[in-house]
Amino acid sequence: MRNDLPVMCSILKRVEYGATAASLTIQYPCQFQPGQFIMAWIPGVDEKPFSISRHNPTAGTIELTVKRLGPVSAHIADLTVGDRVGIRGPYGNPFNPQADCVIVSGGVGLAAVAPLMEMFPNAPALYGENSSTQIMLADRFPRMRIFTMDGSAGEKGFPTDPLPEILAARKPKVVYTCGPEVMMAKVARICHDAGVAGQISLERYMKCAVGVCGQCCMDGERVCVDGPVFDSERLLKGKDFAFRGLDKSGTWVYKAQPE
Amino acid sequence: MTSSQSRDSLLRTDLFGRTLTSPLILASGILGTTKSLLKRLGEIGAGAVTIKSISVAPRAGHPNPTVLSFGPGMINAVGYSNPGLKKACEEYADLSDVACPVIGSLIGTKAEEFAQVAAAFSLLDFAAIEIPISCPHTPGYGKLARQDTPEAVLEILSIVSGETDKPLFIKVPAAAQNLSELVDASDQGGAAGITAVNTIGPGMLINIDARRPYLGFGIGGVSGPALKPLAVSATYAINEQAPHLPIIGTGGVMNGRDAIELIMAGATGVGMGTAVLDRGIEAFAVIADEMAEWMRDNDISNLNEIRGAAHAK
Repeated sequence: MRNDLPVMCSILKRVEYGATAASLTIQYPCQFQPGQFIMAWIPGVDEKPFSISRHNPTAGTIELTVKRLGPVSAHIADLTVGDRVGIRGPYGNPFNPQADCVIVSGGVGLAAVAPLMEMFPNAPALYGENSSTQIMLADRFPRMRIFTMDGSAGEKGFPTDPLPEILAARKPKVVYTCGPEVMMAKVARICHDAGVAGQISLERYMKCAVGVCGQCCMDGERVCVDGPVFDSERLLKGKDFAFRGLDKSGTWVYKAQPE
Repeated sequence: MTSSQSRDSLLRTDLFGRTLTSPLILASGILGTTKSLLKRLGEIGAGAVTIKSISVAPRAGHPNPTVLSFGPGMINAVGYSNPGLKKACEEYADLSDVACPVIGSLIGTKAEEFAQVAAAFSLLDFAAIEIPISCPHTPGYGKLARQDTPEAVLEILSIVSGETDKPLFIKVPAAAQNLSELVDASDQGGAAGITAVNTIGPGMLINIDARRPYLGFGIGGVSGPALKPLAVSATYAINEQAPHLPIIGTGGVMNGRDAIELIMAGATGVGMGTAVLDRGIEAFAVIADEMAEWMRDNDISNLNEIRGAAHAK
């Protein structure tokens, strides 16, 4: 059996994006493929899954890009250079990387697809936020086509708005997406209609992250080891995608439905 | 002609009045959070599956980390997180598409709670009900509430059997000093069988760099290969003491030989949990294949031929 206990790792660098988010570079040498995640532990507080937004195998570092969405992510986003955080992983099935792709993200879902955007610098990358103050990684990816719901930066609207046209024009092999599930459901349907494969990175409440506790179950699959990346056609055939997920007690929580 | 006998006919096991296609049973607390997972385990070939334990009210459980693999084993302090009885009854209302028998696991802190869960479970299609009296890390339950005494076992069995006719299994602690009294109480109280054993604990691991226990709750139950000798000895002792009581031998089973070992100690069913971590969700098929292969190699055509074989005659 593997020894999978969290290792305390130092924060080497911190970049802030407005008041809502930060990228942390952490000393943690590991093998990584885009789409995988780690569990980050604040001793005495909690442990949660986070996508790796950048991997530097030479320097032995990973980067987490974290939004202050709850108490744990706020705690992690507040870590400063010299602080330490417990890390275990990486875990999960990665994206199947293909250069002929389109990348769509929303909110902190950008973190999960950022390594793909780096791997495929010519792939169109669409990214949505509610407002200009929430935009992340704009310096690292100047080519990103940014959408905001309030129109305060980039184009007003959703990153899915131009997707049907882009798919029709480019006929890519695959669309990669991570973001709010209602957005990813839209991506999945657009891909289905266009006959393009979709790879979707899901998030669920997690405990073990290694496939034994059943807490992240959807449609009989475990998001931690069977995912987090799933084929969009597979998800469209099931019943739980964009519909419901288990909370920490194991109670189904139903998701906001598209209008 | 044992050499070509099919896996199902080699491993067929009679337990709680049902015929299981294999003695391998999903232990409670592992994967048993949703019907869709139980269904998948049935399709993979589990002999039976046990749901994650249900209390009357929902429980959020302990903070993360709750489940950690540390090399020689796994340590957990999930803290009986569950959606509560009402939601559980909705989730498990129709078990007709789960290919194997489903065992309900029931927990409570007091008489009314045991009665309420038992009465509701009685109406569901559970093949049996398991009652863990042995959790080492959840206040109000199991060892921390002294439910692992013969008096408590008798009382709980009396309450539960007043509400349901389903076969009841008492899940005993690992390394229990009072195991024979717990078995007597289970037998007198009308239990149909014993699940032996729960995780052992409390255990603790400390991250020396953080100077803190790893588990959110600090202490937890330890499982994995090192638990096997405790499961084997408990199964052996229970089988000596009460040969008429079927045993679900549970603890550290990681391969087919381990499962055969528990059968030779006297187990009828073999529970598995940590094996899922080591060998994946397919463990229920892979380990069944390993058991069948060993049986063919040794000219055994039925598990009854070797059940309890390790006992001095």
